[in-house]
Amino acid sequence: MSPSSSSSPTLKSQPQTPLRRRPKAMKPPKNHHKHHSDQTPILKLKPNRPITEILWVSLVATCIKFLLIPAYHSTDFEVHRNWLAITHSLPLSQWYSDETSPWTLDYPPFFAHFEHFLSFFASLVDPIMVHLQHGLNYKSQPTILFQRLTVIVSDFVLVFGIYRLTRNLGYKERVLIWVLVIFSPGLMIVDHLHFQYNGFLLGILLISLSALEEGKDLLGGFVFAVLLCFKHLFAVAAPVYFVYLLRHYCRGGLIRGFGRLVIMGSAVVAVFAAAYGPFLYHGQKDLVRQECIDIFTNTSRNKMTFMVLEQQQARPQSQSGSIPGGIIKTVISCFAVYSAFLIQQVFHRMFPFGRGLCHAYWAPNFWVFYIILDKVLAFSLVKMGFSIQTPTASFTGGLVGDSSPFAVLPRVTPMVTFSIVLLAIAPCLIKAWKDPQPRMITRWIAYAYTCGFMFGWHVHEKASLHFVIPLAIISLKSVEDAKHYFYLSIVSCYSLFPLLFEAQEYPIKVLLLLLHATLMWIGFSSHFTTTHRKAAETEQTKYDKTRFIVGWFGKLYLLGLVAVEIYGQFVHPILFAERLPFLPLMMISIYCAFGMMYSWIWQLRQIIKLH
Amino acid sequence: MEKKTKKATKPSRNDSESTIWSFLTQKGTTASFICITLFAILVRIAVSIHPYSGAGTPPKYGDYEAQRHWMEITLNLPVREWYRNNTVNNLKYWGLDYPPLTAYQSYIHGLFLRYFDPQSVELYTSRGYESYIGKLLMRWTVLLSDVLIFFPAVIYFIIVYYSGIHEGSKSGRLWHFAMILLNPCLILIDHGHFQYNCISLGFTVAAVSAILSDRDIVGSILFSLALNHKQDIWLCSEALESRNDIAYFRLVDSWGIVGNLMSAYFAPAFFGYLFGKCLRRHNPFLEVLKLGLAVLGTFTVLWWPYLYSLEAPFEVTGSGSIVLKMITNILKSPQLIIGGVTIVIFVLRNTVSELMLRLALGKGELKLLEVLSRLAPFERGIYEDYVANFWCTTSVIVKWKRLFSTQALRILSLVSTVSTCLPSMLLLILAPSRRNFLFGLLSSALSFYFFSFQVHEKSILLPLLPASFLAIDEPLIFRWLTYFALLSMFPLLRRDELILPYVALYGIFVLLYNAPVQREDSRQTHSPFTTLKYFVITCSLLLHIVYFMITPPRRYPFLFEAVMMLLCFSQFFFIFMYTNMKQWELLKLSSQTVREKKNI
Repeated sequence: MSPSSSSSPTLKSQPQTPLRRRPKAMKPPKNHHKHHSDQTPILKLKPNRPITEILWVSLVATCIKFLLIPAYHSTDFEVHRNWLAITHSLPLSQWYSDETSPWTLDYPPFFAHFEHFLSFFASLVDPIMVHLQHGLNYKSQPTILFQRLTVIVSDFVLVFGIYRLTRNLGYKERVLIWVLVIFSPGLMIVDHLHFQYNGFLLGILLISLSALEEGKDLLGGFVFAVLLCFKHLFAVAAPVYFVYLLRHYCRGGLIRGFGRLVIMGSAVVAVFAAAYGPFLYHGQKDLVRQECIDIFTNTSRNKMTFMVLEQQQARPQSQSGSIPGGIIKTVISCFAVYSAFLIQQVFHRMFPFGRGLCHAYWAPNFWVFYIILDKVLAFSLVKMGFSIQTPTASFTGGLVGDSSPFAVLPRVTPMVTFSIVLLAIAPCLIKAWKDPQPRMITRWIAYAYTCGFMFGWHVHEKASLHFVIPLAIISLKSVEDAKHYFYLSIVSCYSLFPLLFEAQEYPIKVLLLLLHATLMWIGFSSHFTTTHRKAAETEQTKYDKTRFIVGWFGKLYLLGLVAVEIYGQFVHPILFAERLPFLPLMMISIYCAFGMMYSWIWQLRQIIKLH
Repeated sequence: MEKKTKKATKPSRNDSESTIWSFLTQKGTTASFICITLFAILVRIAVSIHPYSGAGTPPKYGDYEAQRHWMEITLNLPVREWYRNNTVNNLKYWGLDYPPLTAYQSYIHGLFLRYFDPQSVELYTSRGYESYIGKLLMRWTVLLSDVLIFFPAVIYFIIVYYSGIHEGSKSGRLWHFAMILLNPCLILIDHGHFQYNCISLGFTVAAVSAILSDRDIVGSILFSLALNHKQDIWLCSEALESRNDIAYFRLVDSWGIVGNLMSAYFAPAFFGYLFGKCLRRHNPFLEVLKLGLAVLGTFTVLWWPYLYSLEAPFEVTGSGSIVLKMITNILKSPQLIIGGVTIVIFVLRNTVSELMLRLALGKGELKLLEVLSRLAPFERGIYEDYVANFWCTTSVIVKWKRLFSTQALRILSLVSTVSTCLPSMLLLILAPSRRNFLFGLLSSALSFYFFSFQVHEKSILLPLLPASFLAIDEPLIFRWLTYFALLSMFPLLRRDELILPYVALYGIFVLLYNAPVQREDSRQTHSPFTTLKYFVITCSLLLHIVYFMITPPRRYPFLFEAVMMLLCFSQFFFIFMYTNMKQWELLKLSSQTVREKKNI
């Protein structure tokens, strides 16, 4: 009861050291309970070794991810399972042409290789999982466990990336950033519930960013090229990378600059060659083989070869002279057509311009406003007596023929979105051109992804992770950044809520967000009250109000978020029952779009302002 | 994440480390408490998506179905019918055999369920009802009870504990809070296996903290609530099953239940501490009387519907022959009297109550056994499955079940329970300090776990609770008990297919326990037992793997369970000895301080 009694000598194995409290030193010997072998080092090592601490944080997160294994997963689970099957059972050349399942492989080659690598283990765990036909929609316990585990394990790439990025920061900043990223509710929802590998891919991005921040441009560029071969959607930031590397890496006179350009260029080309080369090579080899068979059996198995053969047959007379010559010609033309076809096939898979402007659930971006404006205009014009044709096409479907989904406003094509994205990135490109600074690169890259998200074609709501995660890294640079990140991460996470629509996961997603918001609030407010001196030393003294306060407007906005959620969950079912099921989703989109728009404008302003 | 909270180190001993985690504690303890609470809820929810006991296994399913069935019964039948057998309330099918507070709780939860999913609690037709939404709602009732009862109680405990008994750093406090809240065993049993231990344990925690803050009356009331929520009463229920048609037998035996209540595990400690405290007051008798009245009042309120209608069975009992009715009535009254006496005695928190109850039960048993022999082909023995308690462990050598009759065993177990918890209680009466009280809770709970009748593996939750109170003082004991409690529940959880959450929670516990936090640590580095400890823990981890991966030889299908049980028992027993010695030491210490004071 009293302190004195606690330090009394004890019996048995527990002789105590009265009054002397050396908490850390006494731990090591007792930690024998390593259930997971990784946990032991935490105790054995000094507590402030960052690697052990980040391991500790990530292992706790891993345990939570473990618990979430049996939770709901989307069709993406089957998509990835199918990719395992494709890469396991088919030769390289057919990876991108297989259509056994509607979930065709639509990630770049490195990701396919990654799946191929995983499929080795998968076939050991459960052979049916990697069977092309029998495995369709296969969901045995080991399959679920295995696939979830691959996500959990591949997440350690993210841990490594974040560790690299933050290893030079102070303790507090470091730990806070780890918490923000590793426990990011968005990542948890998308990766560990919905099922994707974003943590892994973002980890590669973070590694690249950390290299750039350290001035290792070549490594940064190389890793980014690798990332592009894992997932092409990251290419939005390629212009920024290009300009930055051109100006930062390839400088120092014409010759040296050119030399570096060549080095960098060859590194990137090497990566792409490694990724796409085998497909070309294998494709051609296959083609040659097939061609020979075709020539002699007069049958065609391949659509393309058939086409080529038809061409050949169209002018038989001129070619009839020499059979070998014909074969060679055929083969050569096949090479050309087939490589074009193959590349086109890969790209066709990867860039779904066939789909609509918006995803089924509208990502909260600029186009939401555009659509709504169109609706409002159409409505008011009709009221005013104009006759407006109701559009037949939908925003989410593909562009069918010439019909536009818009009643009044001009139609948006992929080209338009593409140019708008480029235009939006332009200020950042100019900045990067004028003054390429490593400490700004994370901000620029995040901004580029924001532009891609805001104005891109057929954007998924999940794409917001591409800039929310990098922004977490710089969230502690100033109060302004912290505030912005606070709103942004909440909005972005909230916009992911519709991904999990079942009742079982509802409390999970809400709790994840609440926990994240609380941690963020606590972390930011304690950081910016106590270390204002430190913050003042950074470059943006002007903007430092040195205290983290959620302003009345921000509070109002967040309250509105709660209101939207309450409406969607409780009021709407009462008012409309089963009718208008899309209305709550639309409200979430629109409401979050405001937050995203704010974030975009804020980032743009910040980029222009800072130097 | 919230672990970091704990890591924030002592402000006083400021060094580079102390700044690492301080961002969470700087904002004030409240914020960090919120974080830990949210995290604890998240873990519970994440566990609750895993299967529950008896999922999809007709005809009797498991604890989940039992609880759902009670909701169905309490919701659809009048209060007086709850414990009575009739056409719709077949007591053989998960008859309600818990004290009234459980029944009320089932009623409230039933209302919740009926609002969202009326089908799940429909009378009779809902038996074995399993659905996505039904499971979810049931899980949420557990979560709600947990958050509304257990969580506030733990917060109350932490506040009390750190405002008087223990000078702790902020981070140590948060660590302690997380340790109690995130106890893997409790989470696995409540949110995985499916039970409502959080309610009775929550009341116990609240009672302990009220008593620690000198609100003895509040504490007594809370403890009575805990007693009324849960017990360990298989023997009664089985006995009752056989005499279902006799109205109110259930009730009568329920009086007897009191002695077997789950939270009665703590009764000797409560009694010892409060009694010892009262003795040191000016007017001991008045103090005892006050507490007695508080307890009696609580019991009366909770049992009111049954007390009120005592006459009823004499007039109404419909079924059964006249002879049987007469026997019933005759049997009833003495039992009622004894029951009443029991309560009064219990009010004084004497373990004698245990004895009386056993005797009371024993008396009924004479008649009961006859009926049993005809109607019930079996009776549950002194232990079941493989529990790491004394009876089960020693049964490897001594075949208790064969050597003695159930009746004899019952008395044997009573005597041994009382005699093992008596020293601890006496020590508590002699030196009623708060620390001593916590140790007393642990040792009496352990002695009940070892020696009482019909213990199941889940009962280890009870000793675990006071051990978690002591987590900051006796980290090793706490950790050790948790590890082996987990191991002892491993077979059960494996049957429930809860291996995944088991591993995850084990991991979370190990990580949290070793959170890079500075806390006062009275443990010593160079212990001669270090190697031994390593060895034991390695064994336990190996056992997990062996049990999971290897099929035991056909001749000894329960070989691994038996080995686990032996290992756990030895460890538990060591802890039991240690706590008793610790109490002894505290007694010496207190007499020393008294002497010193006198000298001064």
